[in-house]
Amino acid sequence: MMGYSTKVVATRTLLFVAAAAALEIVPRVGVGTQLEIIPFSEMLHGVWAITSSGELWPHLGTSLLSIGSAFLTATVLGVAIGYALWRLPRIYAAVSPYLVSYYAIPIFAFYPILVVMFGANRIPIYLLAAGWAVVAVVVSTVEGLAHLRQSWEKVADTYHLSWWDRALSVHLPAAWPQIAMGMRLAATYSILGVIASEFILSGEGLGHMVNHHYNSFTFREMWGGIVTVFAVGITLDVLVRRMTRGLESER
Amino acid sequence: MSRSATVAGGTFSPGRTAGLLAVPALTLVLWVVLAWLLPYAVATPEDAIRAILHGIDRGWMTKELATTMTATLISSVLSTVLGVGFAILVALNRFWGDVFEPVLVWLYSVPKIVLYPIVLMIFGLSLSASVGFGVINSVLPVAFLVFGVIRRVPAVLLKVAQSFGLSRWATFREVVVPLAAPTIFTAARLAFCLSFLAVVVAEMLGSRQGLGQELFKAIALNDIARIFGIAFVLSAIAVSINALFLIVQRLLFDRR
Repeated sequence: MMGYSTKVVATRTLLFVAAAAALEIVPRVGVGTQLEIIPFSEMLHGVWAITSSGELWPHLGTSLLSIGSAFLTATVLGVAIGYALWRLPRIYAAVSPYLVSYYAIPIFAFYPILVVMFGANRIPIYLLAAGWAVVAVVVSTVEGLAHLRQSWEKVADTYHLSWWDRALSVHLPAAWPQIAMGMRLAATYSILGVIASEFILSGEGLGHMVNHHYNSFTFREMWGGIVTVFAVGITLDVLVRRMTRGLESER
Repeated sequence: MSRSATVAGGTFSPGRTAGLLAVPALTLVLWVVLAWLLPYAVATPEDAIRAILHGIDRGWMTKELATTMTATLISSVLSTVLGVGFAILVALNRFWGDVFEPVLVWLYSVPKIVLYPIVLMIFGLSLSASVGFGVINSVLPVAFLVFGVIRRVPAVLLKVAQSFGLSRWATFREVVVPLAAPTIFTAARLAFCLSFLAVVVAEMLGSRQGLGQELFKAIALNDIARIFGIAFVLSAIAVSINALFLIVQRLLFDRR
């Protein structure tokens, strides 16, 4: 008799295998044609092609560097701004309706403006991704701080903590679960922001690599790039999840 | 919920209105200063508005905007229906819910933009390509959001429904739907925001129509006033429709 969780994992794995098999067989029998969707094994072959030729590494490095710096900036700045807004409720009241609407703005419409301002280099990509991700951290930080317990403030009072110590050892740890949630969102926005900007207009990075192979009709390499981007996205997400959960258990 | 209650009740104090105007006013000041500091890169608000009026006068602004909004509308409706439908089907069953939950989380964080070439190859340079890309981008977050709330329906409520002898369908209608309704509304708002973003990006990347395409043309022509004009129109529309969603949501659900 199989345990419940084993059964769940087994079913999930089976679904993946079935999806991969469908992706392998459907193009081979001619649906979707060779040009559009290639068999799954060919996609993996594409991953191997861009890896073994060494083409992947500089693009991967550039993208990861931008994603990492955008994520770090968004986290540090987001917590700082969120904390400041929580201490200044009048300003928060004025800003909050706009924070809710922030993610409605099609931010990529501003990418060309950033390119005109800073040139076609990594700076617009970094700024767009960081600027997109930061608001998620701001909102979640304020949300976390809003549920502080009065008793914790009193404990901080009895220890005569300075505002800095109070922020670092009482307020922010108390708001941690929400901040962690914001960081996970920030990671997703950083990845999307960087890859999409590279795809739209850039000379390097994973997004550019996929677009370049599409434009040069090298579809096997294009699919290799797509599979790699998916893998990178999922890996980074799992990493951030692990990291934030690890910090949580240390509390 | 005291804050939203005052808003729903419609108390507009002069201080509140001044507070609401502070952000747009500061943005405008920042814009003017940037235009003054970097005249080669930033158009003045005056030039941007002139470009918008010129676009309306010539007809391309209204025509392309209509195209963009049509694609966004179709994509939002499709994503909401498909996403909510999938979430309900899967989340109501504990086993399939457990099977799909992590898969939804993984797919959520994947940059779907790299699939745009495939969308283009399937649909060609058409409105359906924008719609297809919009759906790919928004259907999963919608499903994920609704999925979460349906899975967290308190077991007590389901037990109460059981003890009243409600059928599965009646339980769904009387217990699950009222609990999930505000989230489903939020999901529709999310579908609009994500579809709008995706449609504009799709039009920028390769399309024969839409404001995104006009934006890309303006970049090629280095027409800064037009770039700013279009970006301004897109943002203003996004923020207004989003605000409309939020107001309707408050009127519908914040009466408690």
